[in-house]
Amino acid sequence: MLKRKLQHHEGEAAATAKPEEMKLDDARRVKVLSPGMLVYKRFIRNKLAIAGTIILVVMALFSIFGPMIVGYSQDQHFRRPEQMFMDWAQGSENRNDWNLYPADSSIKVSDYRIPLLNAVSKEKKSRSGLGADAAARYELPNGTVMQATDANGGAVELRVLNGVSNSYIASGELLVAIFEGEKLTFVHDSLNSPELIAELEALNAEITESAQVEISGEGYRALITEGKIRRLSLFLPDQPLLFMTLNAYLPLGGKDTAALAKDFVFISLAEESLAEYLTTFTYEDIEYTLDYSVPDVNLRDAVIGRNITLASDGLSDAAEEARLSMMEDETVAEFMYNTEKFRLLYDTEAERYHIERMNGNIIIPTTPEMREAYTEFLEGLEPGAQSDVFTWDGFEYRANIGRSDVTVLDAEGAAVMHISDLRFGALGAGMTLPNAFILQATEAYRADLTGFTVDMEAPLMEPKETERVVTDEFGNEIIETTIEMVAVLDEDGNPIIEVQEVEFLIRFSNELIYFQREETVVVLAMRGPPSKGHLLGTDVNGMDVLSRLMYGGRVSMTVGFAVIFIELLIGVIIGGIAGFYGGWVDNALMRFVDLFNSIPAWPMYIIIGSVLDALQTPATQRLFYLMALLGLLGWTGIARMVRGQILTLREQEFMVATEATGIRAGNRIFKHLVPNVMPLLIVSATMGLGEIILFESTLSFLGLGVKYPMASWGAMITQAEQMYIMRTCWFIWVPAGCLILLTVLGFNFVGDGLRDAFDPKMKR
Amino acid sequence: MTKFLIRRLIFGLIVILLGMMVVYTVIRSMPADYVKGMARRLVAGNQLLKFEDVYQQLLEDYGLDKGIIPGYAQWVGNAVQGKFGNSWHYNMPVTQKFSDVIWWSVLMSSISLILEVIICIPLGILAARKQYSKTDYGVTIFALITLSFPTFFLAAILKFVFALQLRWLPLVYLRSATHQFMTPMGKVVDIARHLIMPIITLAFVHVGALTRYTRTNMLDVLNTDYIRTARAKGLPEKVVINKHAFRNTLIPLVTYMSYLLPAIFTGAMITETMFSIPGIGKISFDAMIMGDIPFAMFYTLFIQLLTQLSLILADIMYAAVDPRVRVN
Repeated sequence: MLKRKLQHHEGEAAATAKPEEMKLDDARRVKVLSPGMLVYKRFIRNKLAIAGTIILVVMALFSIFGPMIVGYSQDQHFRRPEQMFMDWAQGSENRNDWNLYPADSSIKVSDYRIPLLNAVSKEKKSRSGLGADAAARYELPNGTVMQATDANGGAVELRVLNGVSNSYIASGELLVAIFEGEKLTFVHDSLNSPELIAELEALNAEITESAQVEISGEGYRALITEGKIRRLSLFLPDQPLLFMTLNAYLPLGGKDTAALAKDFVFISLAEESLAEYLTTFTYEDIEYTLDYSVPDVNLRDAVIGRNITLASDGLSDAAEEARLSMMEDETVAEFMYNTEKFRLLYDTEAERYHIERMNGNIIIPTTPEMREAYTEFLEGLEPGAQSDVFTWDGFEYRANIGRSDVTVLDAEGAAVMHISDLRFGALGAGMTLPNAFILQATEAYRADLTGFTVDMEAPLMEPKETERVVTDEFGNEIIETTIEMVAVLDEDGNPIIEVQEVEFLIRFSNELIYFQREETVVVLAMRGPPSKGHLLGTDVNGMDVLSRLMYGGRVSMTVGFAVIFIELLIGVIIGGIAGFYGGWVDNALMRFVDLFNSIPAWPMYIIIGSVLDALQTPATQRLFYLMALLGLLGWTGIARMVRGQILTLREQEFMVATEATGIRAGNRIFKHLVPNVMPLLIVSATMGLGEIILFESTLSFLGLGVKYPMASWGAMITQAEQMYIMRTCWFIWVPAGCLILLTVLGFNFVGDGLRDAFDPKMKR
Repeated sequence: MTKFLIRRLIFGLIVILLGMMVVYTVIRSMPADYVKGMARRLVAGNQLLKFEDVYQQLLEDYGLDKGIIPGYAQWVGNAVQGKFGNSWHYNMPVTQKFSDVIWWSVLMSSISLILEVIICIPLGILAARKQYSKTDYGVTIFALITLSFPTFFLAAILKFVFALQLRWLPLVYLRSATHQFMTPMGKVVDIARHLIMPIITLAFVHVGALTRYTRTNMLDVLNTDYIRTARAKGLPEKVVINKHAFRNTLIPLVTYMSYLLPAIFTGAMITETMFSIPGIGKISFDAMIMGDIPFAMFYTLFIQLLTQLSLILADIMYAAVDPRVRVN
């Protein structure tokens, strides 16, 4: 009965008892967590540690999965079409190049060419020694004696002495007939008519002895040699034998004018008129007018003391920009304009600046007003004047006027021929230069412009994306997306040609003039700003920055973990053995550790880096060596710490217990000691990871670590060492540095949090 | 004490010898093209010399024709007499080039060290006193950020902001172009202006470590019994901190700073390279990259000597500052 009552009571009590009512010393009140859970809870309470973990997770995702999303490979080069000026045609001043026109097909030009060229080049070389009287004489194979004198404008005048002739025209003897005895064995084509032959035979009969005989007033001369051969030749002072011209003739009309350009009589008349600055001449009953449009003016600056040219508008703008970005105490600056390098020099005394081409030519910057004034000055030059003074802004420029370019107009005023001493040649095979180009180019060159535009016909081109397979330097085949320029075709498949205004630039090299045409060239997309396809732009090698950041993250993390693994492996083993066995083993191992410690880390990295450079190891192998090296030089800290920790733990009671119960040494180390060392190891490993990432990025920055084409954050910052990149392409280097900072910071936060979590003694 | 010192010195020497051998072995694996280039250069200027003879002479002089151990022995023999040879890269005696450039590094590092001490120690103490407050948080974050900053990135950012964008400070080099025309005072100011950014860079990276170390030690000290006694005695907090806690914090701090002694002389390679300051860091970096064996050997020897010295110094300082150690 009582039992049932008690049970009933208990049941009632149990049914009505409130669940919270427990005794105050009930063990269920205390939540017992495992040590791991305790650490975990302390860790997540630490806000910095959480932040660090988030950073690391984001980094890991970014590096590992990023490339799959973005889709570019590590070393993929990108190209883009760019407007660049490429050499298209070539020009040279014709002062040395003589065109020889024989008056007669029987005259071999080659006989005369070399002596003439020699004469001219000798003349030019010994220019300084020649005065008005001193002159060089040259004798041609046919007996003509010429005298070379210095003409103005840099030309050499060859005057034929033994005869009346004009400059540039050599007259001489024309072989008329050869008689062997009484038999006529040769007669010149132009005299090959029966009457003339009869005259010649009569002449022959009259000559009785060897002599140089002047037969008649017309200057027949008989050269009689010994023996039976008798040569009869005409001495025709007015008949040109050879005609040499320094100028280039560009026919401007139809077929007739082209024929004129080869007519040496026309040419000789034109040359004569040019030499004397005449304005008209008559040929074959047509009066031609000479239009001296573009003078060849050499400007000389008294202050700088050298010949100068005027800059084009584009060049002046670029120079002004460079000047504004010069530091206050700088007097020299370099800048690029249209792929050519120029140097800006500021003359503090004269308080102005001028531009120098890399070949030494001086260019002065201009304003539109100055160009106008200069054009007016050019137009106002007197033909035949030799020099003049052009003043602007208080500075005087002495202008030496050479011969000018001339347009020959016919009676109606239509342009027939263009004469200048500029000779042009196309640089492409089979290309002919359009007349419009030649005219514009000449004008621009004479006006000292650095650029001009021409309306020309050209096929329409467009960029097209193509894929091709290339092998890189390691023998791998990679697919490269590249862009090619192809012609736009119409319905019949023919390329569309249209008239475009083409811009040309003039540049100089080795006394040759190059005309550059703006063409669309496909180049590496270097230093491109952030755009849709490349969220952080492209770097100096045309590779996508964002992808390289991701791959760089992979490299950094791989290196970090691998090195830490090596360090932990070696450090724990050595430190564990030293700490556990103590005595002489400890001593010996610690001396060994000291030895490794004393090897200076940075010099070793640098030296080994340069050795690897010298041996030219491939990039992936270098990575392995780098990781091994970093691990081998860094394990000492961990070994020391493990040893110290084990030394303290060894004296604790639980270790004495393990020894007493006879557990094997191996078990004692790895099952009892090491787990207690783990917290410290984990903290060191985490902080160490951050340090290693810093080391690796510093080494890559110095060029000794991860090498191109593998991506590394440190290596991407190396590019910022160039001033231009640092200033304008922030997207190349700033993100990389921020990523290094964030990653290391993340590791440090986590390590710090772990340390606090493992060691509650630090808390109150 | 003396016995201890002598033992440490001898031991230090042995460590140095072995360490240098490791370095020497690594350097010898460099290909011999540099020596050939040197020989070629010497022959080019002089008609009487033959390339083969000069090459052989150079090899003998620097012990490169022998194996590694005999070559090293030869170097040690020369080093003991103080003959370190001529630097290949700089064409002057190694010791002379060294003494030319080292003082700039010493200057920069000393000033940065002073800066660090002035900033870190008060900051660390402050953080320790106000543990878990916002100040502590802020200081910890600041310290960790400076720890994580890559030196070269910091230098690049400083250059970008102060030299390129704001134009307050000069970009590189020790002196500006018009240095020789300045008054003596102007010259000093000029050099000072050029050194501002490098010194900031140098100091910035070490600030974090020192602050944290100070904070940790201060925390340890503040949790001890004798501080609790001092507070219980009713001493004002200022006296507790400045008179009792601070001195005890100094003990590990001073020994820690002794380890920084080699760092002063090794210079900051990166900083000097980024700012083109001709200090020992940059000069030795250039030499080592070019395979200049005499210079590299002398430089690593110097560092090792300093490291050992600093270890001994740390022990001595520890004994000097903490009377308990002296008794033992």
